[in-house]
Amino acid sequence: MLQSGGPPDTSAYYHVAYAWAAVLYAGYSAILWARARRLRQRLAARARAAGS
Amino acid sequence: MTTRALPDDGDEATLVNAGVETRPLFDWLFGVAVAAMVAAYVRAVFFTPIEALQGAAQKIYYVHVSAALSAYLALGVVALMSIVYLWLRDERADRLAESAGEVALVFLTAVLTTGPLWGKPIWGTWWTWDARLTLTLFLWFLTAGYLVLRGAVDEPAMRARYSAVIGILAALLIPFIHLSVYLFNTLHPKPILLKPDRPSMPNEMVVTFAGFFVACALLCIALIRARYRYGLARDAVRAMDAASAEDE
Repeated sequence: MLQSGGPPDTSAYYHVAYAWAAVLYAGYSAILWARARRLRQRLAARARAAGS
Repeated sequence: MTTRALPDDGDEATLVNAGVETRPLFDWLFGVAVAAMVAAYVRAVFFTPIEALQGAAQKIYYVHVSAALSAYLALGVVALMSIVYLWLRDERADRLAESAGEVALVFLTAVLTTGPLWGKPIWGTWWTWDARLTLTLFLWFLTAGYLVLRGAVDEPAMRARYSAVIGILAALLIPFIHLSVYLFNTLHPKPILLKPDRPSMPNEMVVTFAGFFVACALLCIALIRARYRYGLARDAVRAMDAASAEDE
């Protein structure tokens, strides 16, 4: 990893870490959104059943 | 984002009267948190110097430590709300503890996965059974166990009581994790910022870290709030289902 005359090239690890953290936070937000959406669909089905 | 925790096509007034959550799941706070995270990423990637000895991998510090502190923040909420629940038996405290527990697991996962990505180029190994790493892994299992327990117990009061105890015990690990680098002979670096002396990094890097931490903490709070609102709507729907079942 050590290069002459400069810092070592460890950028691949840093890129993966930053990308992974972003995917993790965005993924959880998306899962939360999907769960709320399922709840919304369940409520809509309930409202339809109550109307019929 | 205007995702709502109830149907737009349902009878909203009826649902509001029934106590179903009507506020948006992701609101202005989430928007501010996302903008802060984007700004923190841009500053860390483009406007923060590369450390001379570790190279670019040192920048993992910002995302790793911010995630750790946010996980501690969320677990602090779990412990506090668990104590409030055991004292007052208020279901809102239990719901907030549940929400914070789930978000804490996300941040702990970020800590346990970004850490090895720094360890491999710097230590030469992805993982070592060092006191801090092992205790953090143990905290992850405790937090996961807390959520599994919540899913396994049907009776609400029993579920809240059992999980409150686990939540408090999990948070008790945090001071040990923080002090583990002083108590044991560990490979993990000692605190660079959270110590009595001056920070062991240049001001430019301290500012980047501070920005990252504020953004991460904001995201943590916004996610806990969104998860709480989802829980509120879910519990109201469960109550409506139970009432319908009784009517039938």
